[in-house]
Order: sequence, then C-alpha cells, then structure tokens
Amino acid sequence: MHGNVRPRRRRLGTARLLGALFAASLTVSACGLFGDSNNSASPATGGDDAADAPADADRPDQILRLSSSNLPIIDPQVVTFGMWTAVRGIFEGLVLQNEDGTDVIPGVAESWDVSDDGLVYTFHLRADAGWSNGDPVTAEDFERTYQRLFTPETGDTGGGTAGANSYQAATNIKGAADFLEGVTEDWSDVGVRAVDERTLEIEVQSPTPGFLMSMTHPSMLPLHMDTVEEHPQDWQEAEHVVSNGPFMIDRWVTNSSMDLVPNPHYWDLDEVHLDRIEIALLEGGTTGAATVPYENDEVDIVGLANADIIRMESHPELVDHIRIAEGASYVYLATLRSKNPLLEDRDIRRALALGIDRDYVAEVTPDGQPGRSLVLGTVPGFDDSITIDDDVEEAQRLLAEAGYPDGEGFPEINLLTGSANVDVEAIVDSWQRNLGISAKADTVESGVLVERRWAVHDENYVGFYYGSFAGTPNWPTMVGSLWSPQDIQEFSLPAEVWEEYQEVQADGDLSATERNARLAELREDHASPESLQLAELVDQAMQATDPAEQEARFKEAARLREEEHLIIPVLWKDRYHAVRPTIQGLNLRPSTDAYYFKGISIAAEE
Amino acid sequence: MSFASYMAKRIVRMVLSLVAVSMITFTLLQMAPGNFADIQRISAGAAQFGGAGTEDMVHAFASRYGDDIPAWRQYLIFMKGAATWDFGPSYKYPTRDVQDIIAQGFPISATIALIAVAISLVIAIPIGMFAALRQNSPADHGTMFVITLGTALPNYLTGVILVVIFTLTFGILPSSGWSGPEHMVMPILALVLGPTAVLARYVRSSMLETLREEYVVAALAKGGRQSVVITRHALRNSLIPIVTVLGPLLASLMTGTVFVEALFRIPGLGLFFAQAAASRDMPLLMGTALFFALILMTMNLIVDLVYGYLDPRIRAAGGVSRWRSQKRLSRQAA
Repeated sequence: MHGNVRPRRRRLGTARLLGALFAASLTVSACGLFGDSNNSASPATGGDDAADAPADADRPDQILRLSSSNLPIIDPQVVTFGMWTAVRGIFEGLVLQNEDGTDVIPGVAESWDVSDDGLVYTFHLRADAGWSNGDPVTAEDFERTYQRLFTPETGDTGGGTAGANSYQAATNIKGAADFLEGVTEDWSDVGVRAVDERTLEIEVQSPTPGFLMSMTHPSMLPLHMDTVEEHPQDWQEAEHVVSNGPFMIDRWVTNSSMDLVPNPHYWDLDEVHLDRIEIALLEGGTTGAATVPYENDEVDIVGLANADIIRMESHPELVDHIRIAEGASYVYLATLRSKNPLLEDRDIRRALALGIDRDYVAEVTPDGQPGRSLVLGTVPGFDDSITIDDDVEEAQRLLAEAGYPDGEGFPEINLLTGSANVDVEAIVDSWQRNLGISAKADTVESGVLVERRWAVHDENYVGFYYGSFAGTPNWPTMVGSLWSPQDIQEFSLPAEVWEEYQEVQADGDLSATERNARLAELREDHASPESLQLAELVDQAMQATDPAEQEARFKEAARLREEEHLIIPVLWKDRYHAVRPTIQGLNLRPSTDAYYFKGISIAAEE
Repeated sequence: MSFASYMAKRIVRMVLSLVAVSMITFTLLQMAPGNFADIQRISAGAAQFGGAGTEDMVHAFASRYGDDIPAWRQYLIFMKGAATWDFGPSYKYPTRDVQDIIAQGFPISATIALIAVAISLVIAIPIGMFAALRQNSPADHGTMFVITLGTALPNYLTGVILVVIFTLTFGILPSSGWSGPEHMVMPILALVLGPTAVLARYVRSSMLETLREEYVVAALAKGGRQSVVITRHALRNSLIPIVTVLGPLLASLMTGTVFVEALFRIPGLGLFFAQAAASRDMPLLMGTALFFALILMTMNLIVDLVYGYLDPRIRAAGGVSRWRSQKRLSRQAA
C-alpha cells in the first residue's frame, strides 16, 4: 500500500519538471488556465503543504479527497448532481437519515411533535444551529426557503426551481401543489408556518406516512435567503455562499475543484473531524474510469459500476476496499404503447414477466440481485408475499393459451434502452431460451429515448423500455410515488386514449385545473379497473393511522400493482463503493447521496 | 484589388457564413429528438424520477427565450444577443453565460492544441527532411511506415495507452482532472502523434519538390555546401505549403479535441460543445458552434494572409487570396 503522502509528492516533482518544459508556451495565460487562483494555495499544492509538516505524527491529515462529476451549481432546489453534494453536508435539513437510511434522526430540528390526526408536524429548532456567517438558523429561514421552492420559476439559478419542486409530491404539504400550479397565489394557503424563531409548523394535506423521510430530500434543505436575494445569480459562488451544514465551501474553482472546510458555527462540531474535503470536479466520466484515479491514490472514496466492480473484485488487495449498500435501486421494464395491442393483454405481459430468468440476469450483472418486486427488499416490513416469482411453465402455458405455443408467431419484442447493458442482453437471452420468442435490445441516443418511451409505436413495434429507479426505501415512496396509481393508470390506457391524453397534457390553452380535471376524467373512463382499485387501496393506506394496518394496505396495493405487469421488475441493484481502509466513520446508505460527510475521520495507516 | 476591399469582402463572406452556420445548427437542433429537460431528467442520476412532472421543467427552460413562442422567434432572440457577443445563460450551467463558458473553456483547448502542434512541428520537420533526403531508401520507407501508423492511431487510444503507462504502471501522472500543469502532459502527448504524422508527410513531399527546383540544383552545382543549401534555401521554401496545413490543423485541434478532453476529463471547449449537443443545450450549442466556425474562418484568413506574405510570387501576382493565386499559378503553368 502506498502512503497518502509519498506518491503525491513524487507526482508533483515530475509535474514540475515536465511543467518547466511547457513553461515557455504557457506564459501569462497559464495562471488563469486552471481556474481563478484567487485564494491562497493552488489546488495542486493545497494538500501537500499540510502533508509536508507531519507535526502530529499520530494524527494523520484529516483531508478527504473525492471526485465528482462537474457541478454546474449546488442549488439544492434544482435537480443536478449538485443537490446531492449539498445534502451530504454543505446544508443540513430539519432531519437527517439514520445509519441504514430507513428512518430519520434530528438535524436542525432537535425534536418534533405530530398532532393526533397526523396532519401537523411541529419542529423545534436547535438554539445553537448556525449559518456559516454566524447567523442563527431560524424557522423563518425554512419558511422563506420553501416559499422559493414552491414558487414556479423563481430565482435566476437554474431556470426556476421547477426541477426539484415536482418531486415534492411525497411531502404532501398542504397547498404546496396548488401554489406551485398557480391555483392559489396566497402563501398563507400553504401549510408552512414559522410560529416563532425556533418553531416551524408544517401541515400536510392528509396523514402522510414517510413525510419525515421525504424531508431528507435535498430540495427541503434551508437556504440563507438574505444571501440568495442579494445575489440571485451568484449566491452559491464561494465568495457569497452561506450554508448551515457541518462543512462550508472554502474554494470553488469552476470546472476544476471544490474545497470544503468545517463550518465553525455548526451545532455538532464534535462530530466534524475532517479539516478539509477536496473534491475534484471532473467532466463527463465513463464507467470504467473510476478505478484508475482510485488505484493511483488520487481519491479516497469512489463509486463503482459494471467493469469497475469486476476489476476491483479480482484485485487481491483492492477487493477488501469494496463497500456495498444493499438495495439502492431497481431495474424495470415499462410497457411501451403501440398500435399493436399485443401487450395490452395482461396474460401476455404476465408470460413475459414470469419468463425472465432473473437469477441468470443477476449473475451477469456485477451489482445486481434478482428483483421480483417494485418494492425494494430494504423497505422495512418487506416480505415475499408481494414478489412475483419466475415461473417458466406458467409463462409457456399462458403463451400457448394466447395462441403462441412455444413462442411460435410471437412478434419480436424490443427493449428500448439508452445505453448498452449486459442485463438487457441477458433478458433477451432468457426469453429466447425460456419462451422461444425473439427479442432485441434497441439502444438509442438519450434524446431519442426520451421521445420514444412515451410515443405510441406502430403496428410492428412492441416492447418495453428499460429504466432504473432509486428512491427512499419506504412504502409511501415505493407504492404511492413510483410507480404511483396514476402512473399505472396511465400505462393501462389503450394506445389511442393515451394519444389523446398526451394531447391534453401538452395543451397550453388549458389552465392547470382544467387540464388536471380532463386528465382525471380520461383515466377514470379508460384506465384498467385494477389500476383504479389500486388508487383506492393506496388512499386507504395513506389514511390509515394504525401502522400495521397501513403496511398491510400498502402490501395489498403493491401486490395488485405487480400482478398487472405493466412495469416488470428485473433486478435490485446494490451500490458499490471503493473506500480506503483509513477512512473511518463512513456510513453508506442506499440513498442517492450515499453518505454524509459528518462523522468521517481518517485513521493512521496500519 | 486593394487590401482593404479584399478584407472587406472576406469579412462580409465570414458574416454570411456565420449566419448560415447558425441557421443550420438551429434547424438541426429543432429536428433532433428530445429536449433538454427530458434528457436531463433521465441523465442527472437523481432519485425519484417519476413518470410525471416534466412539463413545468420544459416550460421553465424554454421561458428564457420566450415560453410558447415559435422557434423562429427564439432563434431571432438568440441571434440578437449573439450579434453583441451575448449568448445568454446555458441551460445546463444556468448561472453562467455562454460567452463566459467559451472564455474559460477555449484557452484550455487552445493551449493544449498550440503546444501539441508546436511539438509536432519540432518533431515533424526533421523527420520529413530526413525522409526526403533519403528518398526511396529503406530509411525513408521505414519512417513513413511508422508515421502512417501514427496517423491511423486515434488519439483517444493513444491516451488510454498513456494512462496505462504513466498512471497505472509508474504512477507519476494523475489520470484525469484539471488542476495543475501535471494534468496537461498526457493530453498533449496524446494529441501530438496525429499532427506529427500529417506534418511530416507534408514536409517530406514539399521538400522533395523543392529539391528539384532549378535554384536548388543551381546552388548545388555552384558548389554550395549541401547542408547550407538545404537549410537556408530549400527548407525555407518547402515550409510555405506547411503553413496552409497548419491553420486548419490548429483550428481543428482547438475545436476538436473532444475525445482527449473527455478521456482526461478536461473542461475544454470541445467537451462543452459535445455535451451541449448531447443534452440539447440550445444556447451553449449555438454559441460554441458559432465560435468554432469563427475560429476556423479566422484561421483560414490568417493562413491566406501569411501565405501571401511568405511567398513573394503570390504578392507579385497581385492577389492575397490563396485560391486566387493558386489558380493564377496553375494557369501560368498551363
């Protein structure tokens, strides 16, 4: 094992030598070439200065080196990778996720009460929670932030917050959707209220299990609104940004690097061990590119996919660095609409769903496990009662019954996907073997994919689109949010109704209220009876006050949804990371942000 | 034709070409499937990407150039800004104007390209001369064979080989990123090979041609030392055609290092251009496309001017334009 210090210094020496070679050609422009070096040290030497002086021989430098895809912005209210960096510890919400990501623990709120009817959450904020400029974090900060979130097209950063506020369905905050859609313009209609400096009240539309978990989403983080209003364009730049998380931005060189240091006004400094977090911002990486920087000791934690995993697993030393968060996402096939009604037949879809050899597909996918439900196994209370098992005999019987014995005369199935995936090929392969039908991967560019997956295809094109989903592992998200009863109803619409449905969706002349009413009417009249029943079940589940009763309702709903086979689960995916053994206190959760910076420290090498 | 009116003509032609480029780019973008918001939704990797809830996003992004207005008006709004070098904010980098992205990304691409071409020249000229002076010898064939291999080897493959050598085997260079001079070495090395091959071949053939010129033969016949004749007279003149290649070569490297920039994850302009196309980021794509067109045309203009300056015959013929002079020359030859 290389030490943390030596390889970097050696690299730098070589770099200086080679740098000298180019010095002549670099001249003046070189200073600006690696970003605005407005502050202290240059990124290349920042870490080494400290490393050169090993005064505390026992305590290694508390510098964490990470890499990230380039962050254009970190506004947590806009859907980019930046929001997931923000939630790791630059900002902190009312609540945080617990160790395994299944429940919440106190964040800025030290405690909270829920009214007996389950409609009003009262958060009590810590007295010692502070912004990085020394201001206290107040309830009003949250109210003002959420007003920004629910105001369509606010701010000059990111063309409005519209990216993130459409994910607020899960919070079910009273009046938020109406405010967002412009049905009401009166902020007092929205159930967010700062009662006093340290008390925030949030009212939900109806009892909302999973409400607290949904408050851990980055879009619910507080912003320092005075700064945001003063610098609507540049509030996130290093020289302006004010944040309330354990870390704050010290330096942010566009397209190059971001350095974080502890926020001195954070309330829980005992849990902040790192002196500095250096994030290299890298452009559009490909899978397979992760292991090289890690092996070259450039980063301490790195996410792994596909070939990276195989490489790490077959490496005698690095195999011990692999850390796995189970059940982070799932892979599904969603039915494509077609003029050919073949897949509008539930039995046919069932035959295809049962005919996939999931063990085989999982075997060829490094981070995959067989997925037999659209509810991840990590959801508390999950059991096998809602899974759909592979059953080749039943699948063959269904096909024969539908007039396709041994798959004879069955049209070719297309699997529409945005990237070449080994699991897609494995599905194709297993259908061929199990059912005797032919299928093929239709790999298209992402622009083509987004258009084709909602289109009504012509007579000779039937199939599914391939996708994956990661969400909070709880029942309301997995059953109520994706795939929601409304999603399922939309998928169950006959092709010609779906065409009409999309026209209504795109009709700019209709007001939001009119449009929603017309869409609801179309679903009411044409969606499958099962999908309508599903909506009732989910409603009952959401209203239920007894947790056991609630879980039972959700399971019933999930079972009903899965039996429709409009969305077919294929794999559950784990999230793989390579983590240096010296990194302590890292807690990997299945959530998209993967971990918090808080609590991480660096131990001496053995 | 006076120099001023020649320049005026060239500049008018450049402006017309830019308008044509903008119209073609915009039209193609309109025809391309998908839009920024939808693509962002599936590629941002964020959780909870449900089926619904995209309409507001689409509107939000379009609103900057006018929500629900016809495409041709969006185009005019964009071009109005572009005329004053204000392309507006990018969709993907909403806090930054496209011209700022260009101002930051282009020096990176240009520096890499300049250094790569400079190194290529330093290598290519001796190689080309060496091969020309030993025409048809095994040394000539051998050199040209290796050089041809170099042309055939794409720079991204060279890049991967460099990573294997310098990062994985010796661990002396960082694999990717952009935070110091050490990040420049491999990208430049990866880029050097191709231009070296192209230039060496040019130098060789140009040198061969010059060596057959009467003044070279005469100089040698008069007892001039071969080395002096070659370096003083032949080399100088045989480098003139290289200038013709150099301009477009430099321009294409400055704008077309996409693969190398992607491989080494360098925030150069080529990468932004490619990303803009892939994500249908209209202002960024239009801005970079126009900028690239401008660079290419400026390079050609410079080459033409330099060409006229370097070759007195062209000046004597009264034309500054390369194609014009060449036409004249070929007519004379006929």
